[in-house]
Amino acid sequence: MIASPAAPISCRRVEVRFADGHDVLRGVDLDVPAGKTVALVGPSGCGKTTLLRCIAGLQAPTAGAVEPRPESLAAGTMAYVFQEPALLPWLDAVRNVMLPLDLVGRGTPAEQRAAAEQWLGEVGFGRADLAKHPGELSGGMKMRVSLARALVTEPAILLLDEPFAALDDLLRTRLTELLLDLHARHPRTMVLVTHNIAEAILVGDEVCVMDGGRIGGRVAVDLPGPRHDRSRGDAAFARLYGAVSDALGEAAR
Amino acid sequence: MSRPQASLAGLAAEALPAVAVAVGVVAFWQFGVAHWQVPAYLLPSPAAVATAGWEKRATLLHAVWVTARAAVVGLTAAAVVGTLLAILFSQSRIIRTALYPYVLFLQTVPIVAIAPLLITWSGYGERTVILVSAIIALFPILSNVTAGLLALDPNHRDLFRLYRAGRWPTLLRLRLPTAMGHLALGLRISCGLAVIGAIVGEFFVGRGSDFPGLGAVMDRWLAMGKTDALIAAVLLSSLLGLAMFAAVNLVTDRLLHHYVQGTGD
Repeated sequence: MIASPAAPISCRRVEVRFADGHDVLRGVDLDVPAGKTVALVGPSGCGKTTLLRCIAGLQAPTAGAVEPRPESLAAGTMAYVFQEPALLPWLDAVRNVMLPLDLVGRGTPAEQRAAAEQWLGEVGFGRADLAKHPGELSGGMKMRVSLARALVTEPAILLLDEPFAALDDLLRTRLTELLLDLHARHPRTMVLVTHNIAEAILVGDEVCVMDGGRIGGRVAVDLPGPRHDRSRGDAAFARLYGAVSDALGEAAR
Repeated sequence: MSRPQASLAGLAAEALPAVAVAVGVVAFWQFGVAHWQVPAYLLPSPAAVATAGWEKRATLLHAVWVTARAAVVGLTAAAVVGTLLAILFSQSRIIRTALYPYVLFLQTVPIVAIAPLLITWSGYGERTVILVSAIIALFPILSNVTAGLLALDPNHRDLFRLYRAGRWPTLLRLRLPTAMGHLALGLRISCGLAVIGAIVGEFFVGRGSDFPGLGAVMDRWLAMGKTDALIAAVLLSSLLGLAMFAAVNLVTDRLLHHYVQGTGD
């Protein structure tokens, strides 16, 4: 069992063919060093989410290998943030965040509650809203709960599937900064799927460009830290934006 | 105008068209019976129905209580058995395929055809009435809860898989709560059926005993040609069905409020 604070991810020649014969992934190789972040960008249907699901163990590859195998990890070592908050509507915010601890059988109810409240605090969720149900929360607040739920088990690997895609630009910027801040304070291995090139550059140590089920280009991100939204104005950011855009164009050819 | 006053005024405005229709129907009924001199055994006037209802109020109120009690117990039994069967059905496709035709049989067989058989097995008493009520109310609850147990949000299912939740934690913490909204829908459909089932059961049970429920009382008054009291009983039966529906709506809205809201996304 791996229980380190961060764990590397390795995908070797991963292929996924759906039942209708459609090849979604065609021999993907991907390495994410421990504690680093890789951002996957590409057009819709290029296989980004399928690759993320393979890493999470939610989709079995037709061929190839993914390391670490999810079953070799202790439950809760890997967490996944979905495109939608995917909160359970019958549980209040705290109980939604307690759920993973409850499912993996970690801690007493009092300890689970304390951890949930701590992580909700970390993601900037107000104490006054702890007892609110998802139906009473805004989109941004629900996403904060979803993020706290993913982090509450203190996973070594965090997988994010376009987590802020449905939010407006202002909220998206705030939550991206929150993610950067959390990653600076609690480093872990992350894979971020996004359509947003700027978000990919801000969060990723490497941006992998996908198209047609393959990784068609890789851009190492050498932005000086600490990163924040104002980094978008740097010359280095503009250069990287151009490089990722070019890689997307190349991959599409 | 204060908020409660405003909401009362809104409610009154909403109810006004229905009340106006009722007043119109009763007025036309009263006028028509007198004008065309309709015999009272065929159609008594609304005034005669009201008088008969008032004179037999003790019998009628007791009958409503007996029928309501049987319908509530029948509906509760249907909810418990329906939910347990739905849990069983949700566990495997083979179980569903093997047992579903027999549940459909319960839905399609005319209850008047099996009621005499139920009396043979269960006797002329409240137990048989409850049994008929429960059988009629079972199917909507069973089919709705089964659908709810199987209709998981894909993200919720993935979340539970990611944390390796087993069959029981998934059932208790995800499938059953997801199905609560469907249970509320099933109860709303079945509550009226439970009243109908209780009354049908009482028709049969009353023929072999002095059962005091609405169905038995109506059957007796029909045989005695007391059309005015019979119509009063029919109207009370409808009111009982409406009251059951309102009560189930109130209880499910209060208790299952968060379960009926969808995924919250």
